Amino acid sequence: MARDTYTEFANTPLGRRLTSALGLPQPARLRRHRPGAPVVPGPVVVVGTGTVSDEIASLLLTWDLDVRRHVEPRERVSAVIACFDAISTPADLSETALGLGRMLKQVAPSGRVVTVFRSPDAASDPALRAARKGVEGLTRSLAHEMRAGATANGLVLAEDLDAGAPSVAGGLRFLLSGRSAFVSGQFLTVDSVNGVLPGDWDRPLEGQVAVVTGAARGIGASIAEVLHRDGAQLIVVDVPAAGEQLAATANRVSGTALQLDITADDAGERILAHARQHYGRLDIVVHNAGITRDKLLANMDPARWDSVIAVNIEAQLRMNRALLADDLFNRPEGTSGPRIVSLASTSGIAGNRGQTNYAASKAGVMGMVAASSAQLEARHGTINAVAPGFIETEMTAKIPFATREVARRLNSLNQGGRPDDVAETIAYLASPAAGGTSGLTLRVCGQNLVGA
Amino acid sequence: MTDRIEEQSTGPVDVRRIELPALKDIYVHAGWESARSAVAPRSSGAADELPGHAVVARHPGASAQQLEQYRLLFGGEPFDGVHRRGLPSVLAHILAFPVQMGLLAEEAFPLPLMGMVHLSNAVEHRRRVTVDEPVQIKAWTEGLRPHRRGTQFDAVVEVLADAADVGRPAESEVLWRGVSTYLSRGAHLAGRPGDGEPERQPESSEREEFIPPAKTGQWRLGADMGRRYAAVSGDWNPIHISSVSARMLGMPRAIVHGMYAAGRMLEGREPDDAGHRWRITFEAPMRLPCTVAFHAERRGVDASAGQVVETFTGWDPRKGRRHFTGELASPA
Amino acid sequence: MTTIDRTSAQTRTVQTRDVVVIGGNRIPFARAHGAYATASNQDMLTSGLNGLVARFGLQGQRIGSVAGGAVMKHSKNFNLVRESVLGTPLDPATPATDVQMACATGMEAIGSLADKIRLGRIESGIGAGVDSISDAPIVVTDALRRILMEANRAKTPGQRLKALAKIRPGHLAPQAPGVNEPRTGMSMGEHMAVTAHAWGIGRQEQDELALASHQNLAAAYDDGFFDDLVTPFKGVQRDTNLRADSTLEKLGKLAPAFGRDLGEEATMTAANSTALTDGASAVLLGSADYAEAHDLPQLATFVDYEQAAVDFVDGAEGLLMAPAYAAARMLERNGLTFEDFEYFEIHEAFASTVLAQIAAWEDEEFCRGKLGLDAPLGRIDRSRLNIHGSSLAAGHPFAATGGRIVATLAKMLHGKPGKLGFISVCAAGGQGITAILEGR
Repeated sequence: MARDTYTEFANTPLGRRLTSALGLPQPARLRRHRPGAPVVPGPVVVVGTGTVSDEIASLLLTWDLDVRRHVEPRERVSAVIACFDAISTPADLSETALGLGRMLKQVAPSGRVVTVFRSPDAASDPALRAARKGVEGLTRSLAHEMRAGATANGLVLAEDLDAGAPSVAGGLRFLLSGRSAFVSGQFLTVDSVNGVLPGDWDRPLEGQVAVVTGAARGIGASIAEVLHRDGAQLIVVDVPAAGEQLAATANRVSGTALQLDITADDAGERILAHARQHYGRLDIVVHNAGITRDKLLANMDPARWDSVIAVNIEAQLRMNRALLADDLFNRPEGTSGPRIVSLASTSGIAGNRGQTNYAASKAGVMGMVAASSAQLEARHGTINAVAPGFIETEMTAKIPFATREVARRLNSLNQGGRPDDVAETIAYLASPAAGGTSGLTLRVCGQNLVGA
Repeated sequence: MTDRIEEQSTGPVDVRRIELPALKDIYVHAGWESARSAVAPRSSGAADELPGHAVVARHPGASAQQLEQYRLLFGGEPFDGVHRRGLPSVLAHILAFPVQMGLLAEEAFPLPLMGMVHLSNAVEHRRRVTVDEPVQIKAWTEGLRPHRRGTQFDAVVEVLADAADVGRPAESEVLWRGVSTYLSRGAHLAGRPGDGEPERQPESSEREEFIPPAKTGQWRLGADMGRRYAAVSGDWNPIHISSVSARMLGMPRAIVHGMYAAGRMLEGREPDDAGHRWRITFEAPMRLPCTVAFHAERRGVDASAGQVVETFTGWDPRKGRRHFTGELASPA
Repeated sequence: MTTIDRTSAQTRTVQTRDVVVIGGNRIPFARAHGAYATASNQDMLTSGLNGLVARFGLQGQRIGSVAGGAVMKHSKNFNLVRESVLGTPLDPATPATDVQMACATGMEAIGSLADKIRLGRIESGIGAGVDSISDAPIVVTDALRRILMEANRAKTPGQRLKALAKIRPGHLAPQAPGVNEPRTGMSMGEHMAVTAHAWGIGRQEQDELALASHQNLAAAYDDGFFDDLVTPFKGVQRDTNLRADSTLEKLGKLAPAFGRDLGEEATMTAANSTALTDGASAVLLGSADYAEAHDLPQLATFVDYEQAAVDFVDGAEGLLMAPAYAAARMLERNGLTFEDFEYFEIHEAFASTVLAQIAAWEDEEFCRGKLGLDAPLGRIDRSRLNIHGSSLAAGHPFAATGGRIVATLAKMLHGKPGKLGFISVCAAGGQGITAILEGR
């Protein structure tokens, strides 16, 4: 991973003065999750008028947070939760929006704004949908305005969903916590009351068995580490050629290493056999393995195109078929169903020059996730995707310096994310509390300016 | 084995007691003699008489230190009275060698000492000789006879018990007896210059094609092997020491001591309780450094003779030339 | 004061139980002075153990015993296996033993652990082996060592100086470790050349065996057979000695490397002899209860093993023929013949080693005279021999070969309950080990 020396410099006293005077980006050190740390370090203000705001306020109180409905001038706040559930027309936005606006200057570094609203997609009334879509626009723009590592995201509830649903609590906690450090300008939707709140928020995956593909290094290794920290037992998978690093990952997370080419026809069966032999269960599958073979389409050769499609999407489709055909990946009697989380990419959303093959595969992942959620729902499971933006990995360290510097700053947080930022989001989506969220692609990109 | 050793000769009646000679003095003197004779040839060119007497000297025995030196060179079990109690045959030879050389260096001995070729050795190791056991060493020469390349003779050496009557020792007092056969190249017996029927020599077999047996061992002898054996044996004959000193004696390179080969051949195979006989016959010299291919073979138990016989061959694996053959007969 | 309860000691019966091979791991073997030139024995063994720990999730576990060793070992590695264990995520309370039986080190480590498990002394064990030619110990000459030791023992500076004054330039030359048999001065290859000649093993059949080894190993890699047996090390993914594209014609062109003094009759080349290699392997064994309790696979039962040694010093028997004797005793003890075996794994120290052993077992005179049997021990079906390649292709880091073979054979037997596999490994010093595995 390349060192982000600019961010290091910008966080020195001299660097802060200099970057400020020159109007340069001022990347902050982001607050990240540590086990045992509070969800947020300071007061949380809940604004809004609907019933949801009351329910949320009482929920936050159960987490021993300093919950306010109002705030003193100049008082630092760690988070503002703006509930727009009562709006019916765009004119209704004003009160809550402006109330939120007045507090923004008091938001602490790495603070959080979470807008909570009902899903626009379900609204057939034009004014209602316009109002709800308005919250989306407001949230995205606000994310751009946030400073010092603070983020703004939306929590979108299905039309009639009880605000007491486990995934509302889970999603809110994720967005407030350091787990979502590199997530900004995004919307986490909660569709159902599925999901279970964990006994211990620091060990939400206790007792579960997770498979992570491509786990030898980079984001995959980080996913394994975060899932392990959250209590899961790990099966780490990578190609035999990466076996040495894979073994190191397995040993770091006290898991088992499975050297396997996921494009093999029986890859899914072999994963299932390994899980059955060593653990007798399988709860979480993270399809992280992926490759890039960049070339302009005009110059693309079949080997480049086909290998990217084969590894990044066909293998996932084939493994999912095997997983869903097997009773091991099905715990209907349990309180939480199986989880699949796939790695998509912002390239798959916004496209990227030289990455037609990669973008096709990653957009394919998003399509697969959306289309598979019904199948997972049948076993109380979920399937989601996470689309990382610029993440500091061995792979991105190979990008030429100037290009890398630009890519790093092209987001609202003015810095690249870390592999564990992606891993935290995946760990949340894999957790029992996230049972109400499925078919979603969540971006972990610091609100990358490219794409929407 | 058919060897001269069978004759049980105890040598001349005339036995002269001498001090244990120092090999170094002998070599210095011999070197001087050899240089002098090059200018004014010794009358012995026509000699036909070996000295009629034997010499005998007392020897304090092999010290533990000397045995340890021997072991460092040849390996094997320690001479600690537990693992090995007796001297190896070749070490007995080392003890006796200065006395033999003392005799050969005497004025009365007709052949030049330098440049003499060691043809063979036959040893009867009758009883165990132990560490620090004082012994007497008796040496004489006999059997002067023509050889197609000169004249040969036998140097007989006996290691006798300290209390033995050196003139007529009892059989039980002869601990070890060795016969070394030497060739003095170019020397011819007076009155029989080059005629007569030379005894059939081992060299003649060299002319037959030598078919190497299956290799059972390999010796890698470094350039310093002559010096290393000399350090143990005290035999600093220049022909073994370095290529420079060997060239002075007309050899292109130093050659290893014949008794080194005997020691190596016997190592680990000699019975500690003695009672064995062995012989070694030398052919092509082992020029240092070299690799010697080695074959050892148990011929099985000869029940009638009550002995186990092993035969040995050493040869140059590249050129296929035989360096030596050997035989060991141990009590069954 | 303690008293011994004789009655209970006398009536106690030894309970034995099945020992199962759970799985194995090795690093790819690399030709000497190649990819692992800078890796030490400890580096390689630790990596091999780490891969095993990772494969079976043994992190933090206290294994009953880890036994293993290296043939070429630095004196500083007096506790090589224990030091390696401390470098892994295994519970530091895992005891370790260094074992040494030349090329049969790995087999002996595994066999002795199996016996301990069988007797209930331990529940789990890891048998391991490693060797490095590239990091072999270089020592000072014996002469210099003696002088230094003497100086070390000296009580006064004067004595010390006197001792040190004996040092001569020639003493200072470094000494590579001897690979020759100490009692014959012959290399293993030279010994084998004599044996091969005595058994009339031809050049062509040796080359064919070598070629088959390479082809079989390459095919096994291509099929993914080694995916759960090998973990890469230092970027090496396959045994670097492997030549998948070898042909009989190429092999036939090589000049003899051993037994050159046999002239026209020399048959052993660098290709039908195993190259010097660096590498490490480890095998996890346990009682069936242990495997079950830890949700671990049970590939095969380690049924039995037998050591043998022959008198090779004066050529009474070939240096590498001991397995021929071990096999006879082991088969008799178990009431088996070669026809009862599904697979044969005969370590290819040299192609001629395998062929000479097979020839001996088929030879009436040898089996009667040397093995004391009424008839030849039997034929070995060549289509069942080393079917996933052996040392000629994979290489032979001495102590690591046993682990390679046991893990490979156990995997081959997995899912074939009751089918038997035969192992033969020869070793320096006229020694050898044979073993029987049974599929589960």
